[in-house]
Amino acid sequence: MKHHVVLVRSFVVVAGVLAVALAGCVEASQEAVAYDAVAVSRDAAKDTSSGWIVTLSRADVALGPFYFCAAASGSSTLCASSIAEVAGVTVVNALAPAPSPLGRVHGFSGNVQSVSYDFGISWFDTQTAATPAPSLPGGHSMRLEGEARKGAMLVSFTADVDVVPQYQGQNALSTASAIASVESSATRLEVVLHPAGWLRQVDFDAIAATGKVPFAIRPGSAEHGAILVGIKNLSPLEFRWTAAAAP
Amino acid sequence: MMNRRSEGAALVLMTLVSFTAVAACGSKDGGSSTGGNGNVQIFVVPEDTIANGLQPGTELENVQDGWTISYSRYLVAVGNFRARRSDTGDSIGDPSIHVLDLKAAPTSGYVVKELTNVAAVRWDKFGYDIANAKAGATPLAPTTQADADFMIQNGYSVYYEGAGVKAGKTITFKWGFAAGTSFDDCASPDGVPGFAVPAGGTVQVKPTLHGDHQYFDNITQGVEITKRLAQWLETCDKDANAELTIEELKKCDVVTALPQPPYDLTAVKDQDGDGKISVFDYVNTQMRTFGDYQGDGECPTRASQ
Amino acid sequence: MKRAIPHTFGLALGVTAALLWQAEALAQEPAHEHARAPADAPSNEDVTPPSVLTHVDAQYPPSARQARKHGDVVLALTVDADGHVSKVDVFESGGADLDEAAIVAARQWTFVPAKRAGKPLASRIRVPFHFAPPAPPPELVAPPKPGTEPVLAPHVVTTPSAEPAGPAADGATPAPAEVRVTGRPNPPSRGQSDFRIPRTTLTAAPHGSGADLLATAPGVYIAHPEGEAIAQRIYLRGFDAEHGQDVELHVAGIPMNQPSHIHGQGYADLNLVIPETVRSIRVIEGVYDPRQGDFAVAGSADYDLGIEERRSRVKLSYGSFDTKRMVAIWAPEGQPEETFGAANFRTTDGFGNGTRGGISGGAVGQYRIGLPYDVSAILHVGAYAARSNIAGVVRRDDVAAGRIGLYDAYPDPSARAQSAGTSRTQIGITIDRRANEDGSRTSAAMWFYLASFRARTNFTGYTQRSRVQPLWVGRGDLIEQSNDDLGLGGSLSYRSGHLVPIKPFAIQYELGTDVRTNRVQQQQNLLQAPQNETWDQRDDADLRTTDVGVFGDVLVSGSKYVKLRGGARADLLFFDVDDKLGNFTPAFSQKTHLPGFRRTASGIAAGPRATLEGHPTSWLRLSASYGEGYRSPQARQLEEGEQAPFAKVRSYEAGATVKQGDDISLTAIAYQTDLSYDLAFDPSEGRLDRIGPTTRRGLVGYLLAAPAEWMNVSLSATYVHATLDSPPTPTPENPSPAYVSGQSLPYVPPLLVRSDVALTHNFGTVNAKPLTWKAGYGTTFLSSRPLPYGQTSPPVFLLDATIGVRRDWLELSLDAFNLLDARYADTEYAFVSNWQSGAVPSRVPARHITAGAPRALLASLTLYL
Repeated sequence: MKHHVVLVRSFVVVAGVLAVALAGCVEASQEAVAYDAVAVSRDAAKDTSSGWIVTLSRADVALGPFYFCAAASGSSTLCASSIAEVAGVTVVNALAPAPSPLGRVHGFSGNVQSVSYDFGISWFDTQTAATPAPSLPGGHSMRLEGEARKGAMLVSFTADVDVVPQYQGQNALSTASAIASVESSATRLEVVLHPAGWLRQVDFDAIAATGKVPFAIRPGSAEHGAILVGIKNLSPLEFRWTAAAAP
Repeated sequence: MMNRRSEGAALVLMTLVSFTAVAACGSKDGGSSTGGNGNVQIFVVPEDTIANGLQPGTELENVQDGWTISYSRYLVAVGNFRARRSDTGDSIGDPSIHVLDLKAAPTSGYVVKELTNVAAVRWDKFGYDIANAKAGATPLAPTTQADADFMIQNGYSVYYEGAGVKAGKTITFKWGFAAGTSFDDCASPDGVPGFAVPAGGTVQVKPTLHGDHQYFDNITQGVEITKRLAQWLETCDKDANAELTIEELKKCDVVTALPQPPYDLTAVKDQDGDGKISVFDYVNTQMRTFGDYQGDGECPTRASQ
Repeated sequence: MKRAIPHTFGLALGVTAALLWQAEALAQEPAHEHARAPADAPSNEDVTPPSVLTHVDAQYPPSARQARKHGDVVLALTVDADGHVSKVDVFESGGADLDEAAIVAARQWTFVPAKRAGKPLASRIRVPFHFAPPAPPPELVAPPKPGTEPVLAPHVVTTPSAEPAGPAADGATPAPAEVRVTGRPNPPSRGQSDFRIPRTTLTAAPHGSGADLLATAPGVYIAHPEGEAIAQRIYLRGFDAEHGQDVELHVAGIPMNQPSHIHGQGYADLNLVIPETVRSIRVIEGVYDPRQGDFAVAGSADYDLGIEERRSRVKLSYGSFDTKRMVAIWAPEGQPEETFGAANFRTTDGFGNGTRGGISGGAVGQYRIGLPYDVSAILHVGAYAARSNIAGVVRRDDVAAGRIGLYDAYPDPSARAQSAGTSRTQIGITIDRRANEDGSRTSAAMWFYLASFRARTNFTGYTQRSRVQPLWVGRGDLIEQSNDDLGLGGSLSYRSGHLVPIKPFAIQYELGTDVRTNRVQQQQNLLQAPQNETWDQRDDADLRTTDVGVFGDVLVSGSKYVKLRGGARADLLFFDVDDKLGNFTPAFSQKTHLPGFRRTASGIAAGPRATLEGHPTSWLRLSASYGEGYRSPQARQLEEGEQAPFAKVRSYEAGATVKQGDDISLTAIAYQTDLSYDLAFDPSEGRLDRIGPTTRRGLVGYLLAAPAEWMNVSLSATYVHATLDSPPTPTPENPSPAYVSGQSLPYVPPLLVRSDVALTHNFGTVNAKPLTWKAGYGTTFLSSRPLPYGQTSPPVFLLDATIGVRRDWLELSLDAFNLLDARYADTEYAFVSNWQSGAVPSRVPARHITAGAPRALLASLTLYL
């Protein structure tokens, strides 16, 4: 009988030791991170390629959601699984000198190569039409007001811009470059906007010729298409990750 | 006692030896135990749209705004076929670039390369380049040396001549682009990456070149969801001489020629560096996306050269 | 994989060798045949067993006669070298009076003693007695009838007719002649990880299904994440075997793994097994037996069916969540244990308010018949069908935020449309010809099954886009899978007698082959709830697979202390895939060909398996084993002519068992398993993806004890350290996967502790008949499991218990499952889902769980007929 007791006891002791020893024994290659995202503006004035100097007096821009991807292309069909995201829409004053909070980035550590995002108007998988988020200014992605000057000519304009996804289940900008290697939550994401550059392809000569003051740019017009080219191709958002104090 | 000891020793020794032998044999990776080698045949196939052009209509694969597109000449410079195994890191390939006349392609395509004595496993990373033609690029019969010299002289990766026809109106074009791009991580339409070599057999690997991307309404990322539209052929022909030149493309503003919607110009780059996005930039960007694999399989990792 | 002999294995071998060396020097007594404790059953192939010379019938005790008591008593007799019974132990008691009667009779038996190479030696055999009232004298299990004796399993006591001291040729004299004692199959042991789980352990704790019985083996955890109709999920020694991809399962010799099943490679539905019909389970953890074939990566499990108590019965149960169950068992007296019939119906609402209801039922029957020319056959017929609703997964963040309860299912129509219906019918026949005088024997088997499967599951909510019509998106990821499988196969084996080519080495070899062929039709579609409209087709394939396996197994013994048992196995696999959706033209492209892509592929997998065993003393057994195994690939993922890429496994172990009589045995094992590539489930595709080579190392401790005659304890602890050996294959979606050398494999619990305790006691009488009380419990402890992204899941502790009382023909019992009502996650996953929990969908992988069942009680009434 004693034999039995000794055997069972030693067995239980070993099991107990193992259980304790295993408590901290986990090695992982990726961890969950969460950090702040802010919108930062750069240079409210810029030359357009046809010689006009554009100055904005108002730029209320809806930003988000943002999905960051480890793949080279962030498109929803090539990147079904994001490495990080900002799952919300924030309307910022793009002319504010100080960084505006954009919400929190939630995701995992690792390499980021691309991003896929909207300007407040999304067409998620389960929505039958592109839908603006409730907080959008007038239901539009952005409201811009400003003037363009070339020599003695002055054009003042307002623009309601809708950046709309092309197909159901896609983002308005289905892919854009965003390179980073995120190690921990001691990070901050800066989304850099250069709003005046969004008007680089606008034909102000033609607008000046119409003589309308202020010239209202509405969705569906050629000038609206030019602003979309500015937003997507000529002066796109830039994404910078910087070190920050751990939260 | 001594007998038993030596008996036991002999047995243990015998076991040790047999276990050593046994532990060392068998294949280390996930392949079948029989190993073996096979061949890889790489052949380049032009899509149907190059051979037969595009038809107008209302089906999803037709041109929606009434244009008929046809090509009379289509040259590409393609090569640097490469394959790699992720499990061992072994790679095979051939860096040479070939100039191919896709209109004169045999029905089974151009056999560009045959690799022999390749390990009979899955080579999951396959890639190739549609490269800007340089000295050393060779034509493959029936492509002529003159065609190859033409491509090399201009440094084109793709050159085509053709015409769009709508309602009696014809617009011709002759365009060459130096839009060299590498295509990697090619997978079949079912999503199976690369190719598998059978032991003692040949696997056919088929990079497929599409001929209709410039008529898409977006820059393809992954699955192709698009309307085919060609009205910009007429819109950009500003001097109305029924011929659309590269210069006219460069001056053609996308704002009027490619209205958004239906177009989505995400990922179009300012290829000519003039600070504006023109239809030339759009077509040039599309000329960096038309390399596919095994028919409609994608090669999603692309890098401009 | 570059080392010739791994460190641990070499060390173990060295230790074993050293111990054997010592043992040789110390050995004094002649070798014993080893006592058969449940965890090990060595073979007797190197000795001639003792045979009965004279026997005395046991007298049915008068005290029991009044009680009309049936009983089984199993005695362990020590027969010394001159043929007398020197010691009698009760191995299984049938009550004090029956035990006494059996002992009294057995003491008077005389034997021709066991012999090795002509020299008599002491031996130990097991003799069961079955007592049946009233008038006929107590029979042995199979009464002697000349010419119609059933054939015997290897360890059986028999009288070879050529034996000079044997019986007279005519069968008229009842004694001493042909006493047959039938028993269960007893294949040779393959190292310490070859566990034979006996009925006492299997019946200690309550088990809901045939699959749950496997949890009594060391290192096994069984989960039920997908409801009652879909097969269990098996975790074995650090392997997530999904529904059977890493464990080769047989029930009554019929293979249960279905190759290339659309729900998971090697899908094996053990729901066909009625728990009350299982006599023992043999679980080999590791690949050490040349008979182990496809899917034996973590190991294999063989269910042996039989009813020991030869009494028909009906059991009616009612319990929590409106669970109703009826089991009827027919087990006629005088027939062998393998002959029985059982039927089982069950309905339940399931926990979690109307999301897990199910109906299931089945029947299993076996018949053992004696045929001429010393042949016996066992015919097996089984059928099972089930249909249930599936609650699916819930996101942990939704549970934490209170948006959904742990036991609920999303109220979404696509989530509520999940269900499954499965069925399986199988027939098998096993034929054995009894061993000849030289010990050689042949056996053959044939089997056939039809299995159907249709399931609708939605793990990911609304994330998929149609491939056929890419504009269709967001209609719900309700994946419908169907799999119809027709399987046919058989096996043949021949075992030689003892050969002595070179003294002192004795050899016995076995050659065998087993074949299997399957015809599978499978489809996978996406459906839109609630009318199950098909909005995407993902798979539509007809598969034909054939597996021909050949094995050779050799036993070499050069010394009475050491045996080497091993051999090799090779399998040829052939695949023919008719992929009806292959080469399909996507929606926006011109059609240039007809859809369909047919292809064939084949491959050969081969590997050695060996066990070195030593018995330096009567109470210590040491062994070291090595084996290479494989798992076949999913057929529809093969290309034309592709050399079938097998997942290859190498397993190593070294262990020791210490025994104290029949009462207690303690086993300690160190093991390592290297897998060339592992498979992980991808819920959005509904299929398994490769994740690269993995290594699992660990230790196992296993204690079996009967500290008192009314108590049986089985306790095991399995520790595993599972790591991913090389970075996951880069894909375009994940071009530089994060990897740290030695990173833990997620979902594998490092420590798993299981105990099964059974208590039986006679206490009290009612109307002069004794009451037998039975109680038992089983506990499972899973330590904290690592999850992807550096997270861990909380540890889990589960307790199942049962208590019952029986008076002759009436039995009442109460089973409690998860008695402590632990709230735990049965299975954890990490993937992207969109269940519309928030305004903006998340595309970051999140934790999802299926809930483990809350406390459930089941009260049963059994009538014995």
